[in-house]
Amino acid sequence: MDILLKFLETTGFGLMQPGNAMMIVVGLVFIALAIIKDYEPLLLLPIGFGIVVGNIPYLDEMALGVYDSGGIVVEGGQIALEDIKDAAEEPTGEQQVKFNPGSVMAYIYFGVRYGIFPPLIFLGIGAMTDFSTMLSNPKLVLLGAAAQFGVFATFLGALCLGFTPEAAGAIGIIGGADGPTAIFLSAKLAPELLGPIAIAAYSYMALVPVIQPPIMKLLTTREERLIRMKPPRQVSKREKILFPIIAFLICAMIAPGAMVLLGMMFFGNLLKESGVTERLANTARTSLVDSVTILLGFSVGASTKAQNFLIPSSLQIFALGATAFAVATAAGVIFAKIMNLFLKEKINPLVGAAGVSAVPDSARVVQMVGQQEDPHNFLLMHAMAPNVAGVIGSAVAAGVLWSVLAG
Amino acid sequence: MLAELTFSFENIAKHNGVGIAVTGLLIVFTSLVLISFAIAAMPKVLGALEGYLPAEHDHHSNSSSKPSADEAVAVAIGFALHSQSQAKDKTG
Repeated sequence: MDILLKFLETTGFGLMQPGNAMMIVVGLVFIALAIIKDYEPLLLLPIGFGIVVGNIPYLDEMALGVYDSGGIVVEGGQIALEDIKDAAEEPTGEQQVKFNPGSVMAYIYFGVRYGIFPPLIFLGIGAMTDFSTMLSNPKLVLLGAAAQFGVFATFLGALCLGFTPEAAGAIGIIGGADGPTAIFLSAKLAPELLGPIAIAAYSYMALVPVIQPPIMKLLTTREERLIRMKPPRQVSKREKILFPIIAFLICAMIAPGAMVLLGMMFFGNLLKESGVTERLANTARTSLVDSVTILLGFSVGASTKAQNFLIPSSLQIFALGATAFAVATAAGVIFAKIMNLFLKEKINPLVGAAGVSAVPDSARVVQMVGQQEDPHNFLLMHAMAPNVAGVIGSAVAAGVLWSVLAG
Repeated sequence: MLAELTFSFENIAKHNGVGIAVTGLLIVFTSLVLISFAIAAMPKVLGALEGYLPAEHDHHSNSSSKPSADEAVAVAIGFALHSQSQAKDKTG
């Protein structure tokens, strides 16, 4: 009977805390949003299930979570030793340092903790991105830069709230609307905030169709929303091949901190556009990116253990994240309106909102809002230009913040 | 790593927040402006070097100039939908 009672105390029911229960419900909500509402299912479903798994309580000695990374065992302030045994399990008289191998979840989380998964995802993103629309209308690249105002405005807001500069930089990058970039920078600057930052970034990316339209309509007039833009020009194969090489050299020389993310992205793009490495490009944009997305999403979700996640700063991070997206959207739209003061061929200011690099959702939102005014105004391809430029801009912003704030 | 969380604009000045933000934005804009100039210059430079560069050709890639069956179907569907919506507009 005592054994049974002791066992019951070690079950999830016996060890459950209110915080764990709350997080399990959050995870189930994410799963429901992914399946029922089709909100970013490729991200929300792994993250949601990871949240559920990560919040099942267990005994500390069992070391089952993402934070149980193992290592040398220390007992009573001293490194623990254990007897070395032979094949017959008999002690040999010699001893070795006792080592705890850590949990499987910790090994999967290794790719997040040390910033390995985000560059691999960027490789896949590069292999699936078509920069033609950006190449055909280079002035739209500036809208991608303007949207990064959200990153730095949020950085200042986080400093105001008393976060350290490193934490503020990691929170600010949520405004870049790029999940892998946010995870990469958080792992470098503020690993203890990686869970809430990742959840905030991916949650708001899924909510782009809700957050952006009111801001876009508030900042534009009906006449501006009706502006039709000239169809993009044809881009030659040579331009598509040269672009990733030139763009990488420019960005990496200016901001070497962006080298890892942008290097992988432009490498993937070159694999795609060169025409001689179609197998590699195909692998990068399908099986590789899918495999890494599964591991990254699941382990990020599992890292949101209630004891680490349900802290006051998480709420502030969520509030700052919403601000980041709103400011980035507004900055892109306003910058487009400023550009129109100097341009003969006007830009539809709605396209500025696509500088928020939630590819391709924010471009789709631009298309949707534009078509509410004029069903025959097709803005999607124009919006893809600042959308992909925003990915470059957010990676450069991350590189700058890492260079300035690290160490 | 997390300082005590209080709201104060002094925190910005204490950590040179404005300097970091302005510098960061300038660097982002510089990078993308240079990329924009490079993109704008590429057609002209490639045009000038046209005589020295090898001819463009497809390298056994799937992305050939002929549209695939899926692309052709997508174009047909798009045209049909467009024609339908134009017909609806005419009849009111």
